[in-house]
Order: sequence, then structure tokens, then C-alpha cells
Amino acid sequence: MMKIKVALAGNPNTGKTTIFNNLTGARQFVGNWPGVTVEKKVGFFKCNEYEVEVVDLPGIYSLSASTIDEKIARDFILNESPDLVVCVVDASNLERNLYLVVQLLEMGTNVMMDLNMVDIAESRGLKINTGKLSKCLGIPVVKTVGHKNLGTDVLKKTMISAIQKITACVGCHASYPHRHVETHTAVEYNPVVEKVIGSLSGELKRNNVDGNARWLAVKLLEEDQYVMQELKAHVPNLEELVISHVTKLEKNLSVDVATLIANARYDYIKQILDKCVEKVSDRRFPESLTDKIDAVVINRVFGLPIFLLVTFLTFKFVFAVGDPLVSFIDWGFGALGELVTRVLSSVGASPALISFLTDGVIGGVGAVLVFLPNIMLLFFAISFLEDTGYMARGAFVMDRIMRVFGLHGKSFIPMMLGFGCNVPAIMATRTLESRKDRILTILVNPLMSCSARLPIYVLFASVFFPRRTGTVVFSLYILGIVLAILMARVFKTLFFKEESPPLIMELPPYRLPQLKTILLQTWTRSKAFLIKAGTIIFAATVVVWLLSTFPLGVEYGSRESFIGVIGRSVAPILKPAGFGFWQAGVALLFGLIAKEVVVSTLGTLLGGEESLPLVLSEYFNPVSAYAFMVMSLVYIPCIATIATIKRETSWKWTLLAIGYSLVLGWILAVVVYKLGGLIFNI
Amino acid sequence: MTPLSVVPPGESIIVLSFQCGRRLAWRLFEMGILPGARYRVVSNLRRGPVILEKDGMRLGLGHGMAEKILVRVV
Repeated sequence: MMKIKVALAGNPNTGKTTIFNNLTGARQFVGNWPGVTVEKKVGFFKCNEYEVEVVDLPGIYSLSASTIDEKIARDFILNESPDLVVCVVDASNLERNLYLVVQLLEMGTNVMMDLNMVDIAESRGLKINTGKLSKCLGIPVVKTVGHKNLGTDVLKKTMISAIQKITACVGCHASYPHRHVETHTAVEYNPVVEKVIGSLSGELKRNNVDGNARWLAVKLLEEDQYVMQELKAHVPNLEELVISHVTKLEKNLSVDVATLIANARYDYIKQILDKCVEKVSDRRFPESLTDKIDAVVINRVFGLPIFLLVTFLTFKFVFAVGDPLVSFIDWGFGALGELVTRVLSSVGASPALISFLTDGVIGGVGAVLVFLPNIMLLFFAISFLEDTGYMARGAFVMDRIMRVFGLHGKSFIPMMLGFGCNVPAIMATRTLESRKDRILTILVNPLMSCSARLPIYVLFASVFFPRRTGTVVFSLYILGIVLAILMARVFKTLFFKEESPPLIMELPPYRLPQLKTILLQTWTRSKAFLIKAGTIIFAATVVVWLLSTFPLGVEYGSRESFIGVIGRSVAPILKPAGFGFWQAGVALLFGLIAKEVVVSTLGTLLGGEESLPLVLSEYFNPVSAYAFMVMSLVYIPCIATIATIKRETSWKWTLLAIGYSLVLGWILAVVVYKLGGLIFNI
Repeated sequence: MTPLSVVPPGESIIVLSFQCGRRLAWRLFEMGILPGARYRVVSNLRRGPVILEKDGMRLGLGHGMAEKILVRVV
């Protein structure tokens, strides 16, 4: 069995994911690209004696590395040097799509082209001569119809033969690794530019720079920062040299070099298209269904209400369908814990072991798994909205409003979902393509009051504000939103000074999503959550269990246990906020596991959940109760959320999220207590 | 020569030039909006996004972006 690696490249909305699914079936895995949070999908298939690893590169328009996606794709092709890059192309939109193919060719990669969605192209009256196209570009070309799974076998076989051609040529492979070969089909530029490319690539070769010198020279003329950064060290005075070339060229040709290069590529593409594509009928499409839907959905009057309705329905779907399942799983783990306790105590196992298994392991794993229904439903809903084409429209509708707050149009859905649970909400930020917009949205997301915080609000509000329970609870939700907006502005000015890039997006035509694609996407994304977040949450709950159990002989989570000791040491810090007793400290510490736990912990420590309403008034007054609710809203994201933030960003941002919420929560609680005390004279 | 942001829906346009920085212009090229390219304006909301269409491909541009693209109505 020979192992080979293939990368799938292509513009967004070319049906690349469908091709990937057709090729690999369910044998796929989701990871992250090194150093970044963009999803990396890898799948496998077998063909003849080959085991083919397929890496799905992010959808990109070019290899200029101006977005994370482009940088990932380019780095992968350059550094991992796949045996073959399959460029998936939308056959009905060849001109724009070929721009990427041409860049891959210029790079000197071993490329083949998959002409996808040929059915749509044909229905538009386009007749594409694949043989000619293959000859013109000098690469294999295959036709497929991804959503009908047509042409997949031919694609597989062509992939194998394209690789065999390279590996068979042993001699040339050794002396010229294929990825660095200067291809014969490279675009020819204006003679003046060609001369400069020649002199630049000569300079690179003289300085023993690895790689395709011609491509690097073109990239330098395009003012590519990454290529410049990399080569600067190897070539003396490279920056000055390039700048002098560019200024001279621009003076001679009175047009900027970047435009010149882009135009030359498009001219080259147009020549090829003239030869290979025939327009059988020049039918015009006055108004398609997509246009009609868009007229309503992006409408100035209806656009916003429709978007809010869609968001609300998503929210409803995720939590209304999910919550019964959540309580079922919750109940299941409770029952399992009891069963384990009964079985183990009947065989005489030590109480420590029983406690570890039930409170630690089962409790910990349960804490992760209760989120699973919500998460799977959320991913299902998101995949559905993405596949229908609505998601891109939503971003447009919300863009103006969210920009005022320093956020992006696409930040809205994650913020809304935060009211249910911050874990899936933070994962939903994956639809944001700009890294800084994502981080910003993630950082403020925990301020949206998740459903786990509701039990705390309800308990305290009903005890201390019996006549205004609803208003008090609502005020905390509003406080969360206001804080999120303010903090987004603060973080934006602190860390992300430059403006968000203006919105330019392709709007895919509306279509009925395929259930198979959605389910597959839901499953692979949820699986990654289970594995990664599960390990961190599990470890953290075990630590909490250890702290609550030891030193040996103390009651679980009591004043004498380590957690009790920590609670007592936290108490003085909480005193200025009006709840400086150790039980409050422990409750807040346990709230780290999940915010509902604050209520159950207070119940245990203050003598039973039933008598809690009575006992609470001995410890709190209305003002300190409100301060405690504010603290519970802000003070720290729960472990599951922290684990998710870590998974989606890095330790740096995770620590910032923890740090700012602790400080902000404490300050607000103290302010509420002190000011409230003054106003109400308590 | 008019900015794209004022072209009413239904008109066909030819892109002439950009009034924005190089990087942004470069981005537009890559997405297929380059001088000489022909598009149909599908939707244009006052102070809202503009949607262009060509061969069934739709590009949405924020209002700010559309102001910086100079076009000729044909």
C-alpha cells in the first residue's frame, strides 16, 4: 500500500466540501491548522494500491496570503508539499475560478483540475471542451457533479495517474522536486515586467534561495509581505532592490505593478477560455429565484426582522429540542452514579474510590456530555443555514449595527446563542473569517447570561425581590449585553486598533441543503468537541473533586476540606461585595464547574436546598444579593467555556478572558454593594 | 463615471477604477472585480450593501466598499 497526500483547493462555494465528502465518505477528521483556529479537515480513501490522504484546504480566491485561509493553504502547499493539489472549480464561473488555478501553476505545484457543477454550466449554455482545456493548461482536467456524486471514480483514478506520472519520473523527481519546477505554462507578463522578473529571480538564484525563483520574484513584485520576510535574510538589500524595481516599472508603465500582474493573469485566462469554452446559447437570466428571495431577505424593511426571527428560531431549536435531551442525559448520569455507588458499596469498595468514581469521573464526564445535544443541534442548525446560503445574507443585514459596537455582522449569531450556552456560542464564532473579529466575539461572549445562570437569578430574585422578580432577572440580562458591548469597544481599542476590513462576500445561490452533508459536518465537528474539550473539563473536575475530598476524613466539600480552606481564604476578598463568608466563596468556586452548581452548593453548605430560601436572608440582604447575582453573571466563565475558549484561541486570550471577568465581576459587585448600601441605607 | 453605491438595481455596469488602497483593490481583483469587468446590479439598498451578479455568481459589497468603486452604467 503506497501512501500519498493530496490537497483539495478551490474558491468558496465551488462544492469543494461535497467533493471531499464524495471522495472520503465518513473517514474524515477535524483538527486545527497549526497555530490557528481554522478547521482542518482530513479524510482518507483507497484506490488500487494507494492509500490517499485528502486534506481539505480552506476555500480561497488567491494565494496572496492576505487572509488566514490563504496563508494556511499556501503554507500547506509549500511546506507539506502534497503529491498533488486538486483544484475544484465552479464550471459556470471559470474566469474567476481559473485565477486560483493559474496561481497554483505559477507556484510550480503538481496540479489537476476538477470541473465541478458542470450540470449548472451546461444549463447556462456553456460548452466546455475538457480535452482542450487540459492541453492549454498542461494539467489533467476532470468533470464532476458533486451533489449527484457523478464523476467521483474518474476523479480518483485521474488523481492516482497524475501522481504516478510524477513518481515514475524518478530521475527528475530527485533533481527537481516537482513542487519547485518552473512550469512551462506560467503566465507571460509584459516584456518590461518579464525583464525585471528575470533579473530578480537571477538575484535569488545567485543567493542560493530554495524554491521556484520565478514565482518568488513575481510574489516580490506583488509586494507579498510573507515572501519578503522570508527572503530578506538570504538576499542582501532585497527590500531596496524590489522597491527600486517597482517604482521604475510604475514610472515607465504608469500603472501599478500589482494591477498589471493581475490583468496579465486574467488576459491569459481569457485567451484560454476563448479557445476552450463555447457559449451555445446566450440566454439571459433576468431574475432567478435567488434574486427574488434576496429582494425580501436583504430588504431594508424586512431584512432585520427576518434575520432576528431566523436567529430566534435557531436559538429556540437548539435549546427547545436540546433541553429535554439534556435533562435525560443528566438524569442518566445521576442514575449511573447511584448504581455505581450501590454496586461498589455492596462489594465493600472504599468510600474514597466510590466518591472518586461518582463525584469525580461520572460527574465530570457527565458535565461534558450534558452539553452534547445542544452542541450537535447547534452545529446542525449552523450547517443548515450555511448550506442554504442564508448565513452570508445575515452577515450583511447585521453588519452596520454590529460595526457600531466594534463587532462584525457575523458576530450576532454567537452573541445570541450565548443566552443559551456559551460553549456552542463560542464554537459558532467559527463562521467569522477574521481572526480579530473572532477573538473579540469570543472574549465578550461569556457576558451573555447563559441558561445555567438563570437558576441563580431566579433563586435570589424570588427571595429578595419577591414583587419584582421578573424585572430583576431581566435587568441582569440587559446588564450582560451592555457589558459585552462596552468590553468589545474596550478590547477593540486595546488590542485590535485597525478597522475591520470592509465586507466583500460571495453570496452563494440559495439551495436546498443535503441532509447527508449536514449530518456529516455536525458529526465531525461534535466529535472534535467531545475529544478535546472533554479532556480539559474532565481533568478540571477531577482536581475539584480532589480538593473537596482531601485531607482524608473530612466531609466532601466541607469547611475543613481543601476547597473549604480556599473558600475561607477567598472570603475576605469577597467581603467588600457584601458576601464575605466562606460558603459563598466555595459556591462561587464550584460555580466554575457549571454555574447552576452555585445554587446546589449553597444548598448543601447552608443546610439543604429546600430550606435555602429561608436561610439565605440570614446571610444576604437585598443589596448584597443583587451584588452576588452580578458577581455570578460576570465573575468567570465556567470550565467548559474556558476549555472551549482555549480550544478556539490560545492560552493568552483564555487567561485574558478569565482575568478580565474576575476583575470586572468583583469591581461591579463591590460598586453595587457600596452604592446600593448608600442609596437604600442598608 | 459614478460610484457603484448610487447605481440603481437592474442596471448593468462596467468597472472602471477603484478609490481605495492597493490591498483592498488587490482583494477585489481576486474576487473578479477588476477594471473592464461587467456586472449586473441585483440589489442596492440606500446606505446598505450592493449585490452584483455575473454568470450566476453574486458578490455582496458593503456600502463603504461600493462607494470606492467607480463604474460606468451601460
